[in-house]
Amino acid sequence: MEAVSMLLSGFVEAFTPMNLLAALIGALVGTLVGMLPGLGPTSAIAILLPLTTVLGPTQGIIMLAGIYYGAMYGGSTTAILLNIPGEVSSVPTCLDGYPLAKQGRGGAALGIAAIASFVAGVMGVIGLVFFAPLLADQALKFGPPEYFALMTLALTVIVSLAGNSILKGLMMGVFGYLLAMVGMGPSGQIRFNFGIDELSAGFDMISIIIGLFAITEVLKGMEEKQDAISIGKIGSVYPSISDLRKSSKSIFRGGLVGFLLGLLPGCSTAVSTFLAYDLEKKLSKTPEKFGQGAIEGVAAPESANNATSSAGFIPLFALGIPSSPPLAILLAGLMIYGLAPGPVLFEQNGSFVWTVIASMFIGNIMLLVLNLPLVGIWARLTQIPFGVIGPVILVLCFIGSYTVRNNLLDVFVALVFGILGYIFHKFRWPVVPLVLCYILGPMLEQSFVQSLSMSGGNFWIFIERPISLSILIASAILLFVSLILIRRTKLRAKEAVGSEVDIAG
Amino acid sequence: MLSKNMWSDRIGGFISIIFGIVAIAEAVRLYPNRIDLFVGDHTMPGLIGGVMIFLGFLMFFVKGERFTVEFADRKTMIKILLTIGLLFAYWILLQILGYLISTLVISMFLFKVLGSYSFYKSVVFAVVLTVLLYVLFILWLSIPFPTGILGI
Repeated sequence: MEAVSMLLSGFVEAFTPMNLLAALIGALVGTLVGMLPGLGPTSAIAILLPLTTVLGPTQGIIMLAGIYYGAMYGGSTTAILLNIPGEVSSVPTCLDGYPLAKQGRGGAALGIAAIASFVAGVMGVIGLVFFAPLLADQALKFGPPEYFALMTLALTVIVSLAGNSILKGLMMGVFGYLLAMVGMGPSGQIRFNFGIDELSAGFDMISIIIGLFAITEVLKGMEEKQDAISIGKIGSVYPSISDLRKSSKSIFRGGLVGFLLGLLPGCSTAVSTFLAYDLEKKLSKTPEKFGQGAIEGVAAPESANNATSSAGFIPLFALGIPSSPPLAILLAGLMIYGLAPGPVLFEQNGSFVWTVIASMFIGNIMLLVLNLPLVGIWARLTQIPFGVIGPVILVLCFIGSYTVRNNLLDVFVALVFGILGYIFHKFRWPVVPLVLCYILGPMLEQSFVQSLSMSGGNFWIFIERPISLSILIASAILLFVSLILIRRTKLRAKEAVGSEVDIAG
Repeated sequence: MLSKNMWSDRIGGFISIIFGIVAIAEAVRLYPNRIDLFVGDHTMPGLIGGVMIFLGFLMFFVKGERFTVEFADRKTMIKILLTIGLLFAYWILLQILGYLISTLVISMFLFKVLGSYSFYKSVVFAVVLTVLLYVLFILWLSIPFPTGILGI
């Protein structure tokens, strides 16, 4: 009941004009950016994160959350109309969405995708309302050893973000942690500055994120064919009663699969969308229609996609564990505002959290109300040439990396990491583990050093305490489950696309 | 026995070993200021250094994936290198000419290189972009940008 009353007060706060505007702009910008070729939710948040710092924390995070789920929805439009999945998680949507578009029913597919995203998004947020405070309450009992175990659990995510080589993922993770150690250590000593004063404050994480995601994305985009693709007639975006009837169970099942998997750190949206699609095909009385334009084949993965994204906020807010790349960047956003994600977030910044959660409901409604009538306009926006988008993004990257600390060194760092990101991409070195360890590394170190300080250097402290031991065992189990799910998803993605794909993120 | 991993992976492994050695050297430098054997700012650099060296060596011995690294055609690669050059030039010009002039100049070249637009179109796009960003960030959001030697 307390959660409901807190949520209601969150709604009161979320309905202030500025917060509503932040949710509206976030949802619109996110949808727009998600539809632009080559830009997914991760790069969208990376580019826009520094620009939201001019807002207050609540409005900033509301806008970023809007950008996140807007971009997730935007990705489905290109998947359905152009057969271009912005992310691997959109591949199952292409399988039936594009055949529907070719049959002149692209509008109905987009409509169902919007409704499925809305229903699943709301399911996810309802789960967030009830699960996150419970989890956070338990986590309040944590001391440094439990936090260390929790950080270990969070780092198991690396396995699912490592792409095709876990070894490379681990190496990138430790490299990220090494970068995070530049500057002041937990005991106050300056490390790794090699006599250069500018390095004493460490690297700014936003510059690294902008470089690795946004600048690299433009360089990658220059390589890809940039011909405008014409879109045929999309038909009415309002699905028929028959479409709705056929999809309703798929939406619910997809949402449930997505939500449950989204709770597990280490399960990417790609895992849940493929699983939801396969489940729907297995349960269908007409499985032969899948791949030919079955509306359920759009509803289930879209629903799973959004439910996983929304459920990802539960471990993020309650434990400080990001389960996907965009959430890792959102975590960075929370830290910019001085908000420590984890159990104390609900206790110390309850009003903030509940306002953000309430705004998610509002943002999802806005997405549904705006996107159905605007589908035609959005579809035309996919035709903006890369030659216009590219320079705009690059200039925004410079502005974004400069504005965080008003420091030109940060701009230089973004530039260097942009080039490095391009090289990493070419040689298949995954960058998300680097960012994740850069963010979580300092927390891991602090809890590790505090634990050993408590125990007088005795490492048994991590397994003597029941909660810490339980989390460490859960980490090992999760690692095992993640490996199986990733293996399965890779095989399915290979079957669907025809070649090996990187399912990281 | 050494695995037949790709050269790029072995180079990555080698770089990891070097970084690992640097991290351990830093841990050794910090060790005298420790609170306890494992408590202090030296612990994690030492640990991470060790892990980097270990993983670096693994890169030479554990069989990894093999794939062909494909770069774009010569024309596109020249465009990419030009873009990178322009971005470095932008960073330098920001300090000399300030935000406004350098953004106008560099964005014009970026539109020319990335979009292959005519000189006239590139100038128009650059002016529109610079004005929009000026209104948004300087006039509305009052973000202080470098003004350079001209003070603009």
